[in-house]
Amino acid sequence: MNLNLFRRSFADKRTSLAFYAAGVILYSIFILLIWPSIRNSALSQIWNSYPENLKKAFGASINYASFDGFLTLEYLSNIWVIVMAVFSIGTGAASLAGEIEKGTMEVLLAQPISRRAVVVSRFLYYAAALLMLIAATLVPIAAGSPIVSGNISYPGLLAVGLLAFLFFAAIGSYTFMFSAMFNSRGMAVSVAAGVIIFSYALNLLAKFNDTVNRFNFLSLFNYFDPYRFLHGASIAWGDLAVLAGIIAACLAAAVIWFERRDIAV
Amino acid sequence: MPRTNHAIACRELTKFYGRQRGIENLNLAVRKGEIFGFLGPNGAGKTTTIRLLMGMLKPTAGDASIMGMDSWRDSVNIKLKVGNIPGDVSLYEQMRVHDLLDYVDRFRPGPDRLRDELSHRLDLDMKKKVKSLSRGNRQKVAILIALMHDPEILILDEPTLGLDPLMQQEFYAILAEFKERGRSIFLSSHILSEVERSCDRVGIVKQGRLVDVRAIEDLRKNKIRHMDVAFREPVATAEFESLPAVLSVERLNRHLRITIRGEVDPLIKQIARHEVLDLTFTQPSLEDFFLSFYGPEPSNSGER
Repeated sequence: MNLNLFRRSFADKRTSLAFYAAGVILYSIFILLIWPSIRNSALSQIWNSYPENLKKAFGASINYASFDGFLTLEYLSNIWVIVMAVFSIGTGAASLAGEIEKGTMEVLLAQPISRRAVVVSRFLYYAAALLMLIAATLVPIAAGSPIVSGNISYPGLLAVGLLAFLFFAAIGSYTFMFSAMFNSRGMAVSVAAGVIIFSYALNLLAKFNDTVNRFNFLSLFNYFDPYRFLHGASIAWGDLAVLAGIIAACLAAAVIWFERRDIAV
Repeated sequence: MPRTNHAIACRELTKFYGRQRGIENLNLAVRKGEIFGFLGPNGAGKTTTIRLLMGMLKPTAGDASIMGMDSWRDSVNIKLKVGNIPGDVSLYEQMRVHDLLDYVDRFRPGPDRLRDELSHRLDLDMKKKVKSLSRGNRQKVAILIALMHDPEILILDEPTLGLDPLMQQEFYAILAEFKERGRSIFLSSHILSEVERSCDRVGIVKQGRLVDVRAIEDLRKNKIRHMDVAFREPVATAEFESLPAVLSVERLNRHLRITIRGEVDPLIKQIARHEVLDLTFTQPSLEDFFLSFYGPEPSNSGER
């Protein structure tokens, strides 16, 4: 890892990182603020009255009337996934392909730094920024939940943090792999976004069709069940191992590809 | 791994982009302490060669070495010793100049001992953001990045692009000082006068192939130039046509266009016998130059 490049990545992205952090903090506070009115409303009965298939799509076992259920359904399994996936794909695509496209990679690689160090330093910046955003999401929830009488398991919240880190880092790592392959940021974004959309669609269809369900192991979302971690505080080590394996494999592929490719627009 | 006492050496260096030729079978050696010009029209393969030397591209065949180290495999070690100005340089737009130079500096162990002197000589405002700089000032930043560590070898792709004539003069003076300190310089250009002014030897590349390597004196002597002379009184063309270096004389009223290759002294002495109203001695264009040395260029040149 090259510390200079790692630090510079933070300095370059501090504004956008601050916006992402502000966004997730505000949304966490928003979730906390609306929880008391949801808890006392009839919304949970409405949720229970939804058709089974619809509930299946969002997670049939989730109890909307509980704070962790509400948190999962209204934040952790939808808008938060979108925001963090956008951050992961955007950062991964800009880190290598974006610099090649802009021409600045030629200036960077004219310095005594190996291509491997470029990939690893950029990925570690992304991983550190990801950790910060996950903390920015979960710490306000942990701190604010007693105030709004939202029962939540702190070990469960910590476990969700670990799961989220590996899940989003898996998205980031395959985006880095595409970023190492392509000359254009747009191409890396498109392919990485295509993978996540395919993954989501596969996971959704798998809930309704047994044949499709046999292939659900191919979907990243098959390994992302925050409610299970939050509610039961039981860690699905197998899921975490799969996500860690994806990260290691994609990062290795990114390094190997980037070390062998031509750098020229 | 190629081992050589030369600063830069290429052996059968070849790069194809798919079926498109970048450079083919390039054999070249740059001596330590010389300024070597790499001259060719746009698309001849100059930038490809420089990118191969800098380890940005992997050779399709052959190899390149810098101070005996392989350009592709030993790229990191090479860059400790090399300063590079890429062609059509792109910089980090959001950074201030001094921040960018600090950032680049931290990749190297040694001090950037020429930074203050060069920034002063190039008249560069260090506090400005890169995105607000003109084309010429961006080129100055690229020059500073390449030169501020006083590297042993400079690899420069069209280094004066965008610089005004005064800054070009200053840049050539800086290059001359590098040469005095024993530094080796590889400089690509499509401007003949630039190469002539600064280089010891020149390699001429055309359509992806090195067609010649000459000492700059040899080049000077043998290139075709045009002299336009206006006389007060009519002068017979014959007295110039008989001179040894004169190739042709055209008359345009009282104005003669004399085409010459070689020693200019006899011609100047002959002109001085008459009253001269005006005289211009134009440098040949690169097209003229190629025409005079290597015959007409085919129109189809798609190489990079």
